[in-house]
Amino acid sequence: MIAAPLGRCLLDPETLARPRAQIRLVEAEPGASLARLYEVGVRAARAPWVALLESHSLPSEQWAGALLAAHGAGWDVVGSAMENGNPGSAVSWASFILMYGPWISIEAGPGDDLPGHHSSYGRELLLSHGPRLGALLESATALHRDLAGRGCRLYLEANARVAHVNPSRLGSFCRELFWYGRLFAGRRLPPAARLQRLLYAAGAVIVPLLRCRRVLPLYRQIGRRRRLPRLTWAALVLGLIASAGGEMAGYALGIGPALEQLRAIDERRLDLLRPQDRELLA
Amino acid sequence: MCRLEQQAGTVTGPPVGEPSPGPALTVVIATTGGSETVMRVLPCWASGAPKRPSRL
Repeated sequence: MIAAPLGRCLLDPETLARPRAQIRLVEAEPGASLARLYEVGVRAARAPWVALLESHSLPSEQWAGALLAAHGAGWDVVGSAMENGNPGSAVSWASFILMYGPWISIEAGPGDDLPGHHSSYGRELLLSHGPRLGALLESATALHRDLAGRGCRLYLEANARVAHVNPSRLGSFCRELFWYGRLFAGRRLPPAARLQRLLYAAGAVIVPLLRCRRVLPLYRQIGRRRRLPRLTWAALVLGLIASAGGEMAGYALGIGPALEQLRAIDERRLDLLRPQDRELLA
Repeated sequence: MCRLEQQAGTVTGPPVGEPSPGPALTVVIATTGGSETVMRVLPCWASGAPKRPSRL
């Protein structure tokens, strides 16, 4: 099922009409955010299990079957085991490590969190959030924390592999992390908590150092199993700084145009890639 | 997506000759639309053969 803003999905009628395609197009209001589009898609889904995926994520052939097998084994939420879909550059690896590193396919099993937009849920479980669903879909971490708090069991399925095509141009990589950081921080505290927001904004200065404590072991762990480009660590540092800058702005000023900026980034996803990486999506 | 839904049907599918209960899994891909990415990727899904790195 493809969820897109009204009139914006340029999928041609011939493709939609292919008898074996089983593709449904559902449309939301113009200017809808990605979270809103996922909400519309979930509400229109008919199957008992609903998996979220991105247009630039490439699943393995066993992906869907592996998700369903894990659900059949009793897991309420099942995450995909992530791989870097364009592993040729330091920027792509840095982006992958920061966004999906904890869920790389070398580490599977039960967990507290799963990759956003790459996990599968019971449809009724998602719908049970009622009008809160759209807001929860803005942050996979918040959604998974909510589900875990309700007693749901989360599992990373090693056989449900997805290759994610990451930004591989430095400016695009930093821009995306900045706006995700701003969205996260802007949503984290209520607008009325002004003093707390200012304190958190000041504290964002040390966030790169704090995150280094988690990212560095991950970087080393992945580096033992995969060949990482030499400057991956430098790109990681820049990414952490960009993300912290976004968080600082989010705490101090709120989300601002974060949703619009992230939507614009998604609209021009090929622009985030080096020319040689664009062939992966061609 | 056709491949995914067929694959899902294989897992929970009915015996030959009986009507299908429908897909067990709906895959939701959200896109802001209109991008070159969407134009390139979605026809691949429609044909049931999304491109992927060979090591997958």
